[in-house]
Amino acid sequence: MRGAIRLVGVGKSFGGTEAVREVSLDVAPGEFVTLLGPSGCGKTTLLRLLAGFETPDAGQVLISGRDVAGLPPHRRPVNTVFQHYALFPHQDVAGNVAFGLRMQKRPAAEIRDKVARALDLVQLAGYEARRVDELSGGQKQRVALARALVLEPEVLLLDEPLAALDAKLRAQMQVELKNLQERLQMTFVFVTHDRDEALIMSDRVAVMNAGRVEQEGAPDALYDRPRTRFVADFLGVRNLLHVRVLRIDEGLAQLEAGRLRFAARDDGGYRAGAETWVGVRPERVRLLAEGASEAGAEDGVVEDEIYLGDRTDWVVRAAGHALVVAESARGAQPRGRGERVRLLLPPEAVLRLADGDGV
Amino acid sequence: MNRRGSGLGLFALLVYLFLYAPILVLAALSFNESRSSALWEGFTFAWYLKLLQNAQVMQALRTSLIVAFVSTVFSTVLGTAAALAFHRHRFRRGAAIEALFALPIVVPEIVIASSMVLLFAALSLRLGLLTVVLAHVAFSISYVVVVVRARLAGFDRTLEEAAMDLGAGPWRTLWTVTLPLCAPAILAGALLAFALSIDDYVITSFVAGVGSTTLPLQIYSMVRSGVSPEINAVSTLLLLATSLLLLAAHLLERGKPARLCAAPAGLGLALLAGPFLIGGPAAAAGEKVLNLYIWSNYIAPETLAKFEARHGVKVNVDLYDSNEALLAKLQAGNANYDVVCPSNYAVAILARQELLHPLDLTALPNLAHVDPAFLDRPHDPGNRLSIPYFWGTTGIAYRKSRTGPIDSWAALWEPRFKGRILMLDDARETLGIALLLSRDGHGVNETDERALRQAKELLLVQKPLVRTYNSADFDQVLLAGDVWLAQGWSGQFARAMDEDPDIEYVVPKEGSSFFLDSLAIPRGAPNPALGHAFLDFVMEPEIAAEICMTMRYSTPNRAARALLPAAIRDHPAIFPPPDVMNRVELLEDVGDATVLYDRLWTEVKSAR
Repeated sequence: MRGAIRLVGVGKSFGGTEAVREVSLDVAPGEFVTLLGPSGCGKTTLLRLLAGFETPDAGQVLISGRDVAGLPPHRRPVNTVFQHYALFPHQDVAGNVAFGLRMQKRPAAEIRDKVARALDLVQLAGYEARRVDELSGGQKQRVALARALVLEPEVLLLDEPLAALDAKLRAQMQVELKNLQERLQMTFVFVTHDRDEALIMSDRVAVMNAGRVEQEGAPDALYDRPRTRFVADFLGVRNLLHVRVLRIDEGLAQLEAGRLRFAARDDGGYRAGAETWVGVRPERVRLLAEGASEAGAEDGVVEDEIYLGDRTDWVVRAAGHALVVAESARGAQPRGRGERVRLLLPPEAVLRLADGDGV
Repeated sequence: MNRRGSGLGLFALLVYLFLYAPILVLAALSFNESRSSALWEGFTFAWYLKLLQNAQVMQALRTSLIVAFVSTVFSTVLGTAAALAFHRHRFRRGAAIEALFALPIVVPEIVIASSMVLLFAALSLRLGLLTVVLAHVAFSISYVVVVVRARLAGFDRTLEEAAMDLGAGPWRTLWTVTLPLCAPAILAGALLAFALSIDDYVITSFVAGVGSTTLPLQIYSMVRSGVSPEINAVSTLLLLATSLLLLAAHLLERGKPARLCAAPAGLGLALLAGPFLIGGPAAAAGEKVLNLYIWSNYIAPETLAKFEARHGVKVNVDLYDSNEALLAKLQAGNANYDVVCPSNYAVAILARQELLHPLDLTALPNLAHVDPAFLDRPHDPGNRLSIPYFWGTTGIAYRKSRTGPIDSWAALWEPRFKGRILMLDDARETLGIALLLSRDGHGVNETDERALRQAKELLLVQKPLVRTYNSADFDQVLLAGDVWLAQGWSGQFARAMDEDPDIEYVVPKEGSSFFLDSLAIPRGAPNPALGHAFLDFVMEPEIAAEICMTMRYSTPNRAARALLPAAIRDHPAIFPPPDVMNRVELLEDVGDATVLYDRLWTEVKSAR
């Protein structure tokens, strides 16, 4: 049970605004779980409830099987890596890393030994006497990490720890952090608003919206099958359409969005005559040359081109809708604005979505 | 550097010069051999040596330092605690409560001062060191709160959360993170509190009592008899000490090793501790004490020592700088002085308010030595409340090589002396001579409004000729040669004549005023019997002569005058001839007309 987390119906309001609503979540020992969502979704509040900086209005928080209600932050078996590092400016690197051990009144020799090992772990051996304001962003991040890890917490909480780093360094730290977590077999709860970061690092991702966990699951499962309009949108399903189900035949649901008609593979959730939301990833939409006579293809006109290096996004107007189509750089053909094309939504690419609350 | 940059640099230099020039001048003058600020006569440490020998200034310095140190410690601790409370907790109406903390900063000092006097009186708290410290703590707290709050406002609260997250409880978080990070602000607050305390005059003058004359009170009190360059020396030393402490604080904040900060800090503290190491007259426990409240330079320490020896008591001297300060202190009713020294008009006011202890004349046999001309005056018929102590005349001192002989107030209206005339900055004295100059036979105690308005017009006519209105160091201005003719009081001019034989003093033929300072025992004095003994002591001919010799003010004691050396006995400024005495009039309390005098004088001074 060491390192397990269980949240049961946890709620927290700040003066009338519900920041966290009835969140229930289980984290297994040694699991890397990410809370993903836009700012204001409640992910940081949830983390602060775990750290003990906030107390829940409702529900239960269990860490390693123990109800931590009433336990102040300094008595909880968790440590936090803060978004802006929160390093103590009046102490050097060693002083920062040793802070927690000093609070535990450990012998000086042990402190020195553990600090050295923690700095080694984050590849900052020899930086003991540096002042923290002399460090680069990445180095500060590593010190913050070492400061938390040196106490060998049952759970490590990370509040957008990489947000302040530049893209290249962030990519490097993502890999390092994941490797470290696997090596230590420690439970990590990671908060971020960056979809790619969540997908790269996590064993499991919980997507949060308006105080609730809308969907949780392994990164690939989540990517392949978002369940709500909000999750789909957040995970990059750019083409979201409100549709009416015309009929269902031969395992296909025939859908209509305004003048646009297309089919979706029936997953058993479509009801003839009902309205629902569906989504299609830009890379799953197929672009055909003008005049191609593939069944179900629609006529369209290229309205815009967004060049992204490894791929190009085309905005194509078809049957009154502006749809985004992504083509990988290799397959892409030169097209100009106003060029006529045909566009195909494959039935297996159409995702049925629940209308996520609060969207 | 480009042109614009050098322009800005020049501007910054000028601002710094503007800020620091007065301080540099002060420091330089503390080494000037001349007493006058006008000329440099060579480098000397004499004023520093004199400072060490000046027991009164050293005692005032010690008092100031004790008050400043104690009030700084308390206001810093309390102010920091209050700032932390506002930082940590959200109160209902928190902003309003916090604004209340800043209020004492904007409330006029005089309001705080008088309300504190009322409070202490209501609590029957004896005015003294304790009340001064309490008052200083009260007004310094606001500054500490504001300074520390400003630092905390920019404080990253996640640092405290990080500490708690790493296992520090609330107290250890405070000690290991919050306070160390606020240390520069706390230090700044403490330095500000210290500076404010060392500096404060208005509030201190109201709440000071027995044994609590601080340096500013001492300096203001010295204005009456001339501020000496020892004060420059004391200020320079204080400046040096605080600069060293600031330097230490700065080094500490920059993260320099403690070893490096120790030198300036130690030197600064040593300078501040110096007055205590040199030692002062400490009262033995259980010793009887006479509390004397008097002007600066009105009695010599050696004279007091004689009284102490004879009666086996200790004399505690506190100083004031105006009759108004004395009146305020006695009206508050909790000052505990045994002997005070009001001018004659102040005696009248105190008598009306029944604030003086009736004298037992049988305990004052030496009153027989006093010239009857100074007894039984309208301000105290029958001397039932006061005895005369010092007197002096108002006249003109002039540089005779420049002006030739002078015998009339009209000389101060002569255009050929334009820009070379100094007048007292005093409503009664200036309007007084204008009244004497009018042909209608008005006296210096005139209360008729028309006569006073005419006198004002006369002063307006004179104004373009006047270089300055000055009651503080008019004698110094004359000595320095900046003016040729100065209206002023005889005591200072007597000393000026000793310094420069080219200076002559005259009481003009139209007549003039004279003042009489008395000694009295306030009602409620702790030891009126000892007070009587002191009054009788200063009227002993030998003692009165000694006081006149050391202080150079005219003594009203006839027997003492006979004991004085001829040079002083026949000094035209100290003891004017009888014909002069016949044309001088004592300045009396003019009652309701005081307001009119003040208004007309303000009109003269503000006229263009």
